[in-house]
Amino acid sequence: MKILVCVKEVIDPEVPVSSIDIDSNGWKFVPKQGVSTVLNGFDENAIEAALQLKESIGDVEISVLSLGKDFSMDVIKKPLSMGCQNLFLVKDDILETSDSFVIVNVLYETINKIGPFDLILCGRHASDWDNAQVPIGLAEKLNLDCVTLAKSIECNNNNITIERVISGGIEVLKSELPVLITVSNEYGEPRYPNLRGIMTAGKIQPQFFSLEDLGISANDINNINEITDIYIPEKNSNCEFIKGEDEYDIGRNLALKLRDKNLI
Amino acid sequence: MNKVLVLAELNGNDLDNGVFELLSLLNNLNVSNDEITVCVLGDNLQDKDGILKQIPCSKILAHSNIDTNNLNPNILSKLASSMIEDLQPNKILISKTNLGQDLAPRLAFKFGWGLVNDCLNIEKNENNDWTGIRPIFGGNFMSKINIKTPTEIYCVRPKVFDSLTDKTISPEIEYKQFTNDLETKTKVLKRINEQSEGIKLEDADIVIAGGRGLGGPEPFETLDEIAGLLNAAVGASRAVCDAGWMDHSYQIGLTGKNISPNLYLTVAISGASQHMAGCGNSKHIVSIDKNVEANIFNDAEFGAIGDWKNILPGFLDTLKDLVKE
Repeated sequence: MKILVCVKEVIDPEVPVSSIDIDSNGWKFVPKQGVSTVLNGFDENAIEAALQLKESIGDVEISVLSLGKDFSMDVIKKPLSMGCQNLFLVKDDILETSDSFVIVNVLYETINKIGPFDLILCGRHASDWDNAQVPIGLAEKLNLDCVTLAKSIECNNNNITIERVISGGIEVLKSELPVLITVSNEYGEPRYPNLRGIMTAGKIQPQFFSLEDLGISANDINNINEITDIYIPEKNSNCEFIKGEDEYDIGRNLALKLRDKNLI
Repeated sequence: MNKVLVLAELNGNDLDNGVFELLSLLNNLNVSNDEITVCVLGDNLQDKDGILKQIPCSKILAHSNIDTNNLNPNILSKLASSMIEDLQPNKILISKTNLGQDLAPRLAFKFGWGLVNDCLNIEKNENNDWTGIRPIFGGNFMSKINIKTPTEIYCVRPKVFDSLTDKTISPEIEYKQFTNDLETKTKVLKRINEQSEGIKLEDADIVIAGGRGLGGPEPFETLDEIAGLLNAAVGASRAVCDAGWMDHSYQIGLTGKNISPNLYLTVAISGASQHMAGCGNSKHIVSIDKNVEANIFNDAEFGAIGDWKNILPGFLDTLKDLVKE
């Protein structure tokens, strides 16, 4: 069985807003010096799901695919250290400012070259643009069924059972390979790479593609969404801080205040 | 003149509130009723015209295909596509529900049209062109998007707009049999509703939630006690749920529940924008945290600075006295 996991390197979502500049020329995030990038957290959940399928089925080869202008090898090779077998990277400057539609087309052409795959896994969304469109768009383009927000995946021959997170509960679905599934953080914590994994990953060379290798010319790259502004939303900071003789008293005064304002 | 298609979702007999909110947004944009067609997705719609008539619009298009396997998005994207081909709209509005968040990108990529996903508002310029506003980077930034394709799709976050209630207008409903090709290898087998004790988070008038700063699952017993006194529901931040202190069904935020209570009381939650994405529409936010610089105080109306271990007992004791009165 061949599994593909699509991943993205993103600015660490835990860093404060002040660590990121916005470049209005093409509208991109520029991390300030010293601000690190990480593997998108939900993509790590997808990697974990792929690795657990490999452990339960046995004969599974996991390939990882990413696109970008540049890659930090420490970050982008993490899936290999976690236990994946192959890494495919599409590198082009233009991909830095491409919208979901361009990205889906490039993923599609890459998969035509390196695929086919029985199962494609993606994180539920990337923590930078929060779009949650690329996986679903890719499924549409590949004419695959798509199941989003998986919290568990079981595979038995061609049959696959997925539990997905919905508001108010979970939904249980069955499908057949090939299918595309997006994985949510409810799947559970991704594993840490161990020393042997890191050693193995060190020996695997990623395979690079240019857009030209994929038969895509610059004329084919057209965003269909135009960003006209990016800004930090205004906050009102008119918070009234409750006073008191000590912290117990602050708690007491808070309750009295809420009663006074008819909030409780 | 616009030709706007609004998708509505009927789950069993339960009409999702999104359609009322989308109509309210269109009302804000001065889109008139004769520009709007509401397309309904659901099972056995012919028997439900009493429910559909509640929608304050003038035209409804409903499919008479009977079974969509519990609103299976893989089936409904085919049905919605046929409805779109039939109507040829230049704007499509979808509420970002369980179904809508899958459907919107499917339709966008099927037709090659631009989508503003998780849209919080739409602005109209002097040429009547629309600009969608959506949060990015977990809500730390906002972006404005112009769609360059002839048809534009907006998937709008629920609970941002009030419902449109216009009792003077009653819709004409047209039922139509759409595509017969509803086969899909993906089937919904069942839905398991989470067992929540007491009030549901999404419905509660008061919500009290705890964050990573609580240090473990035990302090949630105190939150439970407070919730009991206030008739409130208990929630948690993602860090708490990922750590396993509380089940993920308690999670509030971008990847959890989206709540809009009258009072949202937080304890030891720093208020990362990913969290605020799920509670930003609360009417009143009141927060207890040790860090006066915490993000949450940008949104909170009242704050209590200090160690929750000392503040909560004072709060709880006073609450007990107030309840006795």
